[in-house]
Amino acid sequence: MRQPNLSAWLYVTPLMLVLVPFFLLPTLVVLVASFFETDGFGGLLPTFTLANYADILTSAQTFHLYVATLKFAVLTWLFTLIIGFLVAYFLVFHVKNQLLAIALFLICTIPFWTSNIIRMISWIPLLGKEGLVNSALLGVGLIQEPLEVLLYSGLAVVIAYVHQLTIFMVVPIFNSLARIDKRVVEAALDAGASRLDVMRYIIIPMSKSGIALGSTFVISIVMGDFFVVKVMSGGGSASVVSAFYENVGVLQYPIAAASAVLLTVVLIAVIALILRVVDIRREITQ
Amino acid sequence: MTVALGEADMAMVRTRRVPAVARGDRRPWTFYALAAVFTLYVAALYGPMICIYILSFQDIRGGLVFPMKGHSLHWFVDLFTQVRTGDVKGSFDRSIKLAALVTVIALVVSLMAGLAFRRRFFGDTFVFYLMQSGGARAGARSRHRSAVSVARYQRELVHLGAGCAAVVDAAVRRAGDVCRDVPLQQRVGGGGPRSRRHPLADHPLGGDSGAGAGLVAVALFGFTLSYDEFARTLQTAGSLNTLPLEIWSMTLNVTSPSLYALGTVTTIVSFAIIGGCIAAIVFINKRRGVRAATH
Repeated sequence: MRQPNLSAWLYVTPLMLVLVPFFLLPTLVVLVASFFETDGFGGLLPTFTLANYADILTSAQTFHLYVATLKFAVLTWLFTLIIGFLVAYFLVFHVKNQLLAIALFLICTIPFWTSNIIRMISWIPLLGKEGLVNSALLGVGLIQEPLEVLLYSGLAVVIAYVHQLTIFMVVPIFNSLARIDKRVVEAALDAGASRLDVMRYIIIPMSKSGIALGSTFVISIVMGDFFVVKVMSGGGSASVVSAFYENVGVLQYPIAAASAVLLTVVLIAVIALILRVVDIRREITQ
Repeated sequence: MTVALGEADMAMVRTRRVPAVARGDRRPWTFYALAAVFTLYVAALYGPMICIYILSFQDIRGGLVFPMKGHSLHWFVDLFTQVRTGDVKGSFDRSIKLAALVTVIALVVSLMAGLAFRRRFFGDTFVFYLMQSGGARAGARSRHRSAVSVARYQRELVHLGAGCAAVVDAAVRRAGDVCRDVPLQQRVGGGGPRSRRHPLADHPLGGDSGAGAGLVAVALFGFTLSYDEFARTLQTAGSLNTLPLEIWSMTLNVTSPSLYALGTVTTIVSFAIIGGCIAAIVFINKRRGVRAATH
């Protein structure tokens, strides 16, 4: 099996030419820089210090940032999971016409390929102070004054995340659901299982890999994001990444590097936790 | 995500669709409940976007929110003629060039990586995990951000190529994913044990494999992801903006529907690309089906 190593490595060469200089090396540079000292003017003093990590780990700000980011991540994960699962389930098990199912699936997928920024901006006419939602609520008489929490708030951030990321749940769950042999479900029904049982004992266990894959996508994107938070919160909320973006802005490179390393470690831990529950690679290739 | 197009229809073709859950002629109540959820989801997906497309066709009195004030193409003209809104045409050009370049690189890299991953080789796990972690976008992105700043890359990497280099690894990851699936699809979809199949069937471009469609999907991801890329280009682009950066700066200082007009224009470009790619995939799949039938 391991004979054609040379040709395989020749094939992988272009991939490595991209990954090594643009991913591996910068990662190492950051790792090294996180142990350096700064001279305060953007210069780096090549020493070995743990002060940056001590700074980060002992500051209350870090704690608040992680709590805020985790809050966004968990809320987004919950909503995308519920909506994504229901949508995927509907497409696979309820739409009987295969062509129609694929068409509906594509309808869900297409916005993913259009501009994220445009999709964020597009909430302005809806959620803004004079937007459609406020006008509608005013018109019905539910509220007396326009709600200001709709746009530029934590709520808006979660809405934007769910809007953008539900598709990351739909696609893997759709794929794992589509792999379920319908005869298994049929057999369960014949054996007298209720539809709730089918859901509990067949469908959810067999879509675990899709759910896990979708969860890693959603969580890693939300935790690494600063753009949505910045735009949709109107500067009102911060996230871990937006904080070290600010650090870079004021030339605090080692601190920024240390928080980047910390975030990476946290993310790896979260994803490892998910992978412990479900071995994605095995489930994909089986 | 990446397996979307190729994988979805493969899986559905493989398992024959037996109406398992809803037996008999009457649909269960869950069908209607889930249909409602689906409809709401699609409405929420497209609704806001459609709002800004409509609002971009207002006349000169137009504002950022409803109601519509007149109908005209004023803001589109405004977009491409006014200096006030920035260099839209230039950034548009740059974004298209960037995306085209990334697409080509992603295609070459992922096709070859896909060929390599057809069978196991020494170090394949290392490459696999490097590829996967390169794609753990959050980490990569944050690393990039500070890495790029720390190393003062900006100085040297001011131009288009820089943004391209930074973007390409995002695209490659997806590309690599799709291609990693290509052999899988061949194994699963090609049918029969490997030894009994024509050697050409193992070649991504030959036989009855799904790789042609997979490559189109790679191109689609390469193009759309880099055309829209924001976080990396923000750090690397220097003084010449790409389109997303232009839109970003417009959100800060332009409070007229020309912002929406730009949204409409870029969406038209995106849809043209997506439409072309989907058409190509459908065409390739159809030809594959015809060939499989005649053999």
